[in-house]
Amino acid sequence: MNAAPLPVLMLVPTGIGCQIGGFAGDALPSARLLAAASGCLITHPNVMNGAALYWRDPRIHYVEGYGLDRFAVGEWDLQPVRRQRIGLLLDAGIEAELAQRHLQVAEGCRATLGLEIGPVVTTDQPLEVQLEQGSSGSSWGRLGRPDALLRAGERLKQAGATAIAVVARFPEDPASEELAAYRAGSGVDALAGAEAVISHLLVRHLQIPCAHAPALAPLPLDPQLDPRAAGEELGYTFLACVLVGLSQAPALLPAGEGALQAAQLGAVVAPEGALGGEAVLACLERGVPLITVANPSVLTVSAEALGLDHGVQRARSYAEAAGLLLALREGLSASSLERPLPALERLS
Amino acid sequence: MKLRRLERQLPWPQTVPPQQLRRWLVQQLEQEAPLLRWAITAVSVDPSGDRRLQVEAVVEG
Repeated sequence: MNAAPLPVLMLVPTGIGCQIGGFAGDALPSARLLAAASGCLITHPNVMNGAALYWRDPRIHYVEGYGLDRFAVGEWDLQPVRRQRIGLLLDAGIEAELAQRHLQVAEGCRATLGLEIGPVVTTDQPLEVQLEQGSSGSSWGRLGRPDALLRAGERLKQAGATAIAVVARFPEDPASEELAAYRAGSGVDALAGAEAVISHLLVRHLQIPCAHAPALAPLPLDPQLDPRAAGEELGYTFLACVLVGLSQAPALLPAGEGALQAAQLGAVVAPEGALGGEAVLACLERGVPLITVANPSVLTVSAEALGLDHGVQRARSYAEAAGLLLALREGLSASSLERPLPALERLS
Repeated sequence: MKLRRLERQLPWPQTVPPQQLRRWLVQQLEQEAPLLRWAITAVSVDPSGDRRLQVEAVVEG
């Protein structure tokens, strides 16, 4: 392809039950396609993390949601790096055996994938994660001890970590209806909102790449498990994808200091009912073309609801969105690809 | 530091276009507490045509 890469932001908000991307990294094939079409895709861990499953693509920049919002607003830039040194932050609330499983994943990623991992720190108090649900049906959550998280993060950064993988013990209820629905492919990921709060806190405080994996006991085998949730049931932890994602996550720099800046964005791609997040609204502010994709969720904050009557292209699938990105990248008018050709606009 | 979840219904003034919505919302919400994570989770229009935004957030305090 001759055209220069077109930096594109791909968003699939966490914890809103998107049909594509609401499960275990199941928007990853779509991200790979958009990366191929654009040549430069900036997206967040919810899109890329498939627990035991992951994919590296040098065209995809793995940026946690808080950092991604700051990037879209224009407050932070991104700087691609050859390698990050990943500190591992473990919640003191994790049982010894489960903590050992996570340490072995870190060891495995060092030995088999060649990642730079360490040091490891355990929080001085259990983090006490609490799960909540908003009236919209989105998952949210809180931490009982946010200060303990930040203290551990500071120790890792002071010890030389340039990125942080966090593992927090999450409450679990294997018999809950929400979990059964999620495993059957019809519910909202109840953990996702709290995960986002944890990583947002650390990124805001330390301004380095961070991502989270929940620590949970293994679930009983479910023969009817939805394929989109299967990545989470292949191993004992959800950590491998986080370590791989962070291993080359771009550094987060003050505006004006990084190679990739919001002003370079050529498009933003988001589910058609999830346009109410800070990154999409920031892109609207700066006139970045918006491509909405039919990807149902519990939200209906659409272009119509927001009164957007121009600057929006609607795609019925991520495959169609990839075509629209290619057109943008090649400088083709998307309307020239439609029939009937819309009439020329005449000014009176 | 303490964190709490917040839900608000805010009237969306006609004078605020979608392109200025982010700045306006941040201004409104930060009067209450420093924001960590937030999103518009619904938009409704009442019979008189007035628009309302439902916002969900996690804030400090």
